[in-house]
Amino acid sequence: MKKFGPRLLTSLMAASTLLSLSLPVRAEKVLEGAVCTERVHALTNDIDWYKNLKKAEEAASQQGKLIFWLHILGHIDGAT
Amino acid sequence: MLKDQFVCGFHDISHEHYAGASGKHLPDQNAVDTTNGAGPHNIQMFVLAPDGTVLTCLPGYWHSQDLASELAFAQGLNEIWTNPEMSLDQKKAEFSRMQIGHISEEPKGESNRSRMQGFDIQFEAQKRLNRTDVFYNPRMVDPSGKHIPPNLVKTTDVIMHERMAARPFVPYNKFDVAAYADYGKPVYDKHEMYRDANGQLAQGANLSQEPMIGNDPRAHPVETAVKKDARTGISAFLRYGLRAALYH
Repeated sequence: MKKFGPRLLTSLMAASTLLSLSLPVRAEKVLEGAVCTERVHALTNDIDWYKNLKKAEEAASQQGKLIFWLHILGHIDGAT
Repeated sequence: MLKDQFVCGFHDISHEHYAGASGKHLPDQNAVDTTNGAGPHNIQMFVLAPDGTVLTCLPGYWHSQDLASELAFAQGLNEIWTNPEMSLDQKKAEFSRMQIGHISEEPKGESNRSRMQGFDIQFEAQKRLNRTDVFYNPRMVDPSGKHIPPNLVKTTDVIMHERMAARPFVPYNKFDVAAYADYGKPVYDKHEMYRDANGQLAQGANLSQEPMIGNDPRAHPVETAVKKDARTGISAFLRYGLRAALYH
């Protein structure tokens, strides 16, 4: 299990999106890097992210919780 | 909600066969908002029971308010899964019923936030009209993908719940992610790093040099070169024999 510092976040918290879309032309509002950094920091500092599903399952069983298991391109603590 | 009620983890799918591709972003770089369900090949958000059973899976990006609703919904599904009074068949039937039923129980506006991207609709119409499930009436859909009335296109929340309804309480290690998360284009690129604060592409931006991640040759330049050399060698061998292959 790993605790991460400020990192880019996936789109799951409506923070930095890690997706980009093919757009012919669409001037959508851009979230600037500083905002993304802040939001990613808030999420990844407050939550411990498991990289091993078995260990996550054990923890979930012990704590009586469900598992939020995220498939992403890249690493939650790096480039995505 | 995530912090207090879930154990969280992630898996890097950039080398999985079903993964798509995207522009590569660092943590402090720009981002752009998008619609629910966009980029299904690049992100999948599973909610699992502690025993690894899939309760739900959100393909692509999801707005936080809609994500929260779906997480709460998954908790309701877990109550069915752990109900000792129900048989497995009863549980599966209830799972499917709840998935379809949830479409009408979603937060206000979720449907509007779940409209498919135009290029994804076009892709589905052009490439797989005879086997896609994203249209309500495929026979009414223009195969060129250019003139498709919005009311013919399912929103991604509908697609998600319909596909989940067909997969009641499947173990994670048996879940067919490739098929489940497959709709729309496999490559997404919004060029966030090349957009100004107003969302316009900066003049002179060299988009062809944008770093990529996932299943795209630009994301694996060394691997791509090795494969290309190998293919060239094999081709020469088949045509001209071993000596030619050695000297290709």
